[in-house]
Amino acid sequence: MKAVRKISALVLCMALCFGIAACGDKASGKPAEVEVWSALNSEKIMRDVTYTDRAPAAFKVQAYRNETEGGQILMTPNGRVNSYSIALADLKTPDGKTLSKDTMTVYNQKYVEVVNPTKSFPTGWYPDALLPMEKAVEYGENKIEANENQAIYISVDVPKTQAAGVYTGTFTLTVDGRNIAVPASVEVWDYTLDDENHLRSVFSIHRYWGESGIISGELDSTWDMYQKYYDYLVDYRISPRYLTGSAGDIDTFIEKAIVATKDPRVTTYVLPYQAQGSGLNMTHYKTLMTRMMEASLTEGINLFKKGVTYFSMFDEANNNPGKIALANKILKDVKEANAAYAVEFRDTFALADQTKLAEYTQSMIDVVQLYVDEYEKKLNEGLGETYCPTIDHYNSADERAIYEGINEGERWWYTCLVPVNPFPSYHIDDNLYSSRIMSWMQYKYDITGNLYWSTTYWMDTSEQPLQDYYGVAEHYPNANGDGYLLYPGKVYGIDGPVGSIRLHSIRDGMEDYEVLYALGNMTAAAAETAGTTADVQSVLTCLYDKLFSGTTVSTDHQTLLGMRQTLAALVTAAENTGIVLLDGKSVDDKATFRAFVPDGATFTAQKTTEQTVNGGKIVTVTVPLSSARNTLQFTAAKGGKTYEVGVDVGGKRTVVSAETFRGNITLRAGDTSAVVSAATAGTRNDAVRVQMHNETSANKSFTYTPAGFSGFNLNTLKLLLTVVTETDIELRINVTGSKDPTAQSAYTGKLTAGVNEIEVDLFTLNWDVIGNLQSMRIVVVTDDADATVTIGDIVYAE
Amino acid sequence: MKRTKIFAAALALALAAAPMLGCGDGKDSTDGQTPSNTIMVNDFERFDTCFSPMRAANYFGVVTMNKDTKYVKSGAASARLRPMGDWYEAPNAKPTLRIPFDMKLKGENYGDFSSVVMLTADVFNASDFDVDCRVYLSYTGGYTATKEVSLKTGAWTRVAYSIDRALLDITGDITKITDLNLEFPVVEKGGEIPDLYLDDIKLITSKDPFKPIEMNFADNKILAFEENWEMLVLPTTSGNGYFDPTLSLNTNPKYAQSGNSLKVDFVGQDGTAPQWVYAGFYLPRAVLKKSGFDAKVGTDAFAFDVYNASANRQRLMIAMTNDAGRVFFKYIYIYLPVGEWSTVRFTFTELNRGWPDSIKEGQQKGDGATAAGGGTDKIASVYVHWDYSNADEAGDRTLYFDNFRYEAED
Repeated sequence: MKAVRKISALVLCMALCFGIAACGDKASGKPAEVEVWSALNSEKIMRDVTYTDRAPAAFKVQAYRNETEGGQILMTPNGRVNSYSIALADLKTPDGKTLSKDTMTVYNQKYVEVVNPTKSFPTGWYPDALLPMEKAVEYGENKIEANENQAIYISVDVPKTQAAGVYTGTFTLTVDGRNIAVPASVEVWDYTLDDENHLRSVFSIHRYWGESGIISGELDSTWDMYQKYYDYLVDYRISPRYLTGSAGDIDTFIEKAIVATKDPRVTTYVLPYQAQGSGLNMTHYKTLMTRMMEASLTEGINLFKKGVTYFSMFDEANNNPGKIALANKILKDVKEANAAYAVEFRDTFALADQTKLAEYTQSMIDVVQLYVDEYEKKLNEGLGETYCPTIDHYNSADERAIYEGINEGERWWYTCLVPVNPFPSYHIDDNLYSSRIMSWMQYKYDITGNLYWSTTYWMDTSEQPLQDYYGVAEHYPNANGDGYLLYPGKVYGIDGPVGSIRLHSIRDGMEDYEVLYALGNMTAAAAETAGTTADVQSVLTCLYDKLFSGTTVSTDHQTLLGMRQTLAALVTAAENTGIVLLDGKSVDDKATFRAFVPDGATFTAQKTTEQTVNGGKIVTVTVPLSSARNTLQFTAAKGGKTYEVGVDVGGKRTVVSAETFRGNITLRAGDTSAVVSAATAGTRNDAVRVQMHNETSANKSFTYTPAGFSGFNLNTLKLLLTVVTETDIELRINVTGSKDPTAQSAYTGKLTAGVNEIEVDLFTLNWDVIGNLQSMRIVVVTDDADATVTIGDIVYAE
Repeated sequence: MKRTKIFAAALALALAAAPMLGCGDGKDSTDGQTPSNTIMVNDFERFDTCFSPMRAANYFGVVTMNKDTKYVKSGAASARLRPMGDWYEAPNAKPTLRIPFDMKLKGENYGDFSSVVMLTADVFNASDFDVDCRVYLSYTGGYTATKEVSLKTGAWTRVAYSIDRALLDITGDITKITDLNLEFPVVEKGGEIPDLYLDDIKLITSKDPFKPIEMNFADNKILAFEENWEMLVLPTTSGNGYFDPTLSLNTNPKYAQSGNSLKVDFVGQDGTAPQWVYAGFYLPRAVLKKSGFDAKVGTDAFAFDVYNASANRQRLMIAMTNDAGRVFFKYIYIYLPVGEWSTVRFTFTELNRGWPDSIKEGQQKGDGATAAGGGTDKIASVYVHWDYSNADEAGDRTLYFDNFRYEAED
């Protein structure tokens, strides 16, 4: 969290009613002057930090229909404020349409002190719990101390039927009796978010853990109370780990599973189990499977489809041989049992609908069995497990390839204490947008499930149940906020949990995912209509690149807002005109996109070529990457509706010619047989071929040292190379700078024989310390004495 | 399952109701009717300070703030308790409400019992049946003996729990008493749930210092069960009240090495015990310290005799903890043949070596022992446990213990 926000210039609040007497600073007798300002819902504004660069007082939100989105109004008084409240108002479009104030919920932001930072974020008072405003008033918490920041968080649940448009009006903030007008604006985008969630999740609600959990937090052990927590998370598009009811209470499980299966918001539930000795109680498991099949056939719904197994006995097992052995046994037992039941059920349910029986049986056999840990080749083969490693294990392409190879069908990940920033986390002392961007990463890398270990780990660092549930940031040591996203409501007379600003951010991310998912489906459908291929990820890369690299977050809240606006433009155009970008590709210093334009729709853009296809035409747009910022701009129109779309396709690109490249190569001393020659590389006709030889080391290398590295500058974010290799190799690229001649690792990756397009992220290197790029050493690691690589033009991408 | 009554019966004090005190002050009452040495610990007038600290152990049930004056002893509110437990999750676990004396939100810690002679609380039983309530206190590493109180239907009951400060000073740290525990009966599936109202938890203090128990540790003896005080200083433990063994004095010479011995009755494994229940008793720090434990050297030994009067071979576990309650020595393979006396003996070298991360079946004591914290830590308590996870047979168990002692090098 930066103390000085890079938003807009400071704008003092509108003229305040200084003359009103009922003000807070009794010591001086003067009324407190209150600066009212605003922040995005992706920002954490600390209570005790002075922000000198404050956005004007306003409530400004953009959202799809059926989406919940929020905004923050901040107050910073110069004296004590004894009460404040806000009165909402209906918002209207210029043509008189109304967005009711009843669609909005007002929360009073609560703060918790971080004493022991999780990583490098400062100590201080962070926002977290969001208390319904009426409770803050009832319990006298609508007070502000002098010079502290206090947020009011307002969320809007945009109705599915709301007309698109910009709704404006004025809210009235009342501070110690003085009224302050706050302009309000909600732009409703012309797209309706689906109720159905497609991003699976397993978030634990600990009902009872070491005498803590919601049983102590709420002083209520009834399953009715658990159900309130369950429902609360489902409202946030999150699927809790367990359905309501004990593992032994199969009747209740079936009842709840039927409800969950019918609820499009629920994606997942963990099948209940009972441990027995060194394995599972298979009698219980068989009864469960039988009852699930029976209920599925009776109800005509597949109760197995949303079920997964997740056995805590071998949770995070990798360093524990006993747990590994247990995992090998239990995963095998379940897999074999499911196969056996599938046969047995043919007789048991011989009179049932055999088509449905076959479908449900297959789902039972295919049940996702979560193995929560990274892949280390310790489990036996053929268990059918789905590895669920921590997020950082998906950071590199090589790591992602591991899970793409071993997990059939689904990929999951989790976060638990680690990793920490810059990886996305749910820590209190992390950027709020971090947790939102996690879902964008999931769509890019096809991580279909997200597991989180607890939303109600209400213990202190010495594992004692909390007393002050709202006053302790560090529950698990060295990870503020980890293990809880909810607070007990009973202390405020609330019958259920109180959420947090982090939970809102997670939901925001889940909603973003649904938009990405929908755009992907629209793109695939358009390609099918046109009889062509599509690659929505190649288009979305323009957005991803500004948000994250690998699985590290590399953005800010304003950029996230911009990417969200771009995504909204793409999806609203697709939804209402049928025009979608099928794919995109940047080659050298040009970006090329293909758009499908259905019959009846109009597509307008610069430099296009057209091809008629089934149902419309495919338009190809080329965007030169010659400016500092380059935008694919097009207009999509149909049926009187027009949508302007602008996609930032990247910064300036500079191509290093093969000739320049070839002329500045220094071969390894002693490699007398090395040869540098002209060649082709993939689609490039102008490339450089380097043949190297080294009998004493696996490393074969050469160095590229052009004078001045023309075209490279501190805005260069990536090096792009096309590398052709005849065998599988490991490629390393090390760089040196003018200030620091020590080699810095810029890239390590495994290349397969053939053409490899490589992107070398440079932003992670500290160029301020390293200085201007001086040399680039390319190392081929192979056991063979000879190595040959062909490298196409090097491109510097800003 | 009854526990040994190692405390004197509670005094039945007929105290006048204390005036209402906000949970936020906790000052002595001064209305003239209540003794000046009464401290209001919890009057249940505010949810945040009075209710939030409570812990609902064993899936307690529901606790709500009651403002129906019919069920308020003093002030404007009381706590309504519906102890129901969880029939599925823990069918034998008695719902227990733990009320901390360290009330962090109130900024008060009442856990120093150096001058406390009695704790009182008022409970109204609105159920249409009498309810048994077991009352005891917790401290780090253990808890005091229980007092059983019958809460009569339709009436207020003054729960009075007397404090034997001399004993508490031995079994735990009298300055760090952590919780008041109210334990209620298991509610069977579909059974009636008690409807109770709790108000005004107070401590009665005395300015008189307590007289320490005089313990005799001559001739390397620790406990031989020949003197009255010896039966008083062994708290039971299981982490689950249902499985706490019953301790009693045995005078039958058949089951004693000499004179009397300690009889320990363990409730049998009926298939409902949780996987990890270690039921037993422990020798408190004060007993060990005053008996000279800290001065023993490597070749000295800690020993005791145990007789298995059960029908099957039994397995004992011995563990030693430090002042923080951390186990740093553990040995889990003490097999007791049927109908015989066995001697359990560990040298201090073995004890100080700590315990290995994993002890395999068949290993002997000390085999491959890699210190997992042993060495220089002072031993706070010695626990003698019976391991339910390995007790497959049904039926209760009875063991006799005698002559806890030190043995010098031969």
